[in-house]
Amino acid sequence: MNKIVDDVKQALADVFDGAVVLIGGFGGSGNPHNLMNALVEQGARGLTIVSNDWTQWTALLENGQVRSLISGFTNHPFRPETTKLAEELCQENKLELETVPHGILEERIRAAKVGISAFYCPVGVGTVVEQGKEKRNIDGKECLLQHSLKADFALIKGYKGDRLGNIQCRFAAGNRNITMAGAATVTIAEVEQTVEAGEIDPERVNIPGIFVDRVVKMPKLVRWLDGHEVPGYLTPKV
Amino acid sequence: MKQRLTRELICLRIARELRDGMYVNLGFGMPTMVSNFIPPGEDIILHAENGILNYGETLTLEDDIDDDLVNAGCQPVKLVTGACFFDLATSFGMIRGGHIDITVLGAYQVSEKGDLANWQLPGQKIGGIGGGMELAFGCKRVIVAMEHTTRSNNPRIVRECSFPITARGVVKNIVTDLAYFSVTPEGLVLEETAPGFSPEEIQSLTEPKLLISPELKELEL
Repeated sequence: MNKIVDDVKQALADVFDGAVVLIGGFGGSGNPHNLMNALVEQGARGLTIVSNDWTQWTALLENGQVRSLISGFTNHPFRPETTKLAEELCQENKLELETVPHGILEERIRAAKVGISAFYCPVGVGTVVEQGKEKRNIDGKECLLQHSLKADFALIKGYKGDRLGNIQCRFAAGNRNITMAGAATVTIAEVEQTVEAGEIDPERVNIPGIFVDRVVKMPKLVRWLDGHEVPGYLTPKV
Repeated sequence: MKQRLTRELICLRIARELRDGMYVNLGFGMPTMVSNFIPPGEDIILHAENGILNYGETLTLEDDIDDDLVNAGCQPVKLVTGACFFDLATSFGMIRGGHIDITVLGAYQVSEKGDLANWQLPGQKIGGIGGGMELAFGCKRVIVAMEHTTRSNNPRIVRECSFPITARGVVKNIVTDLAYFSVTPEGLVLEETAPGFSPEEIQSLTEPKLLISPELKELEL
């Protein structure tokens, strides 16, 4: 078994137009920046992007590749032009937008991963989240029916990965990557280091290899380097 | 001397509500500053929704910053001894499952019944819910940190929220640059006032009729 892929282009070659793509990370931390950049280059269009926030969808939206956005943040708090673009595209019906609570989104993704078809949850009752959803009183609490979110590709980030797909994460960079792995038909992980099987201590594996299909080694891209913030955080940390 | 509270002083007042042994989540924006005023030597454990328990002070650009160690507001942070990491599903399980004692959230509007509106401006298609809905629904106590009025000096504490709702009936306390309030079944109670501001003046900038606490006092800072 060897899940390690040498070429990032090869890793993403089969992402098709109209695919549903989960992208990991939280606010730039633990983001698979390289995979996302490669997807921009690969150019698949009409994508449904499922994300936490703007750091996962901005580049793809600005490149005209997004048909549908499912995200905890569908605005960009720090770049008005991006927010304006999303708003305009949505008003012109060129972009479908679903702003979702982070935790609900995470459970919908997890449900698809672990074979749960749907679940009831009280979060969002009395808000726009309620719209179009079945509501039921369970043990005295109003709850909304949420369905599992099926996806074609999951792009995730790890620290170390081996040929079996085992991934070790670092500090808080695991975040959504751990949940997302295995939640799509194909899970692709970018890692900073590829290592021999057995080098990651079994107790230290954050993502069991069973959930991962492809592992590609890419440089870590950082936001803060040598005492300053890098615009667009596209600088490799050596 | 009459002075509206700064954002730092609002957060200082909120920090006084935190007790040893509490698990606390600080929302995006102004609430993150509450961490600067946590008394040392106590176990007040900060929860970051991106998967950290016991994160600590925010770092500056002069510090050795690690991209993998940030809080939910994308700020680089240090860890406190006894910290741990976990994935996001677990993190929201902590929130939604009622394990967090206090959350401090920002707001566009709060109603006299404790309805919270803080994720979208009216008429927009885009917005930022983030973890706010789960925090509002799931945490044992919601404290709002906000400016008392809009830029055109209109009330943000209202009878009914006109902005899109984050959650209904969840807010327990509101701290603004003018006052400290409690939301009760009887109504919105004015408990403490910013130095130099009278209850009448605060009422004039607040839409619902306020109840005045029998123990009304000036905010001690």
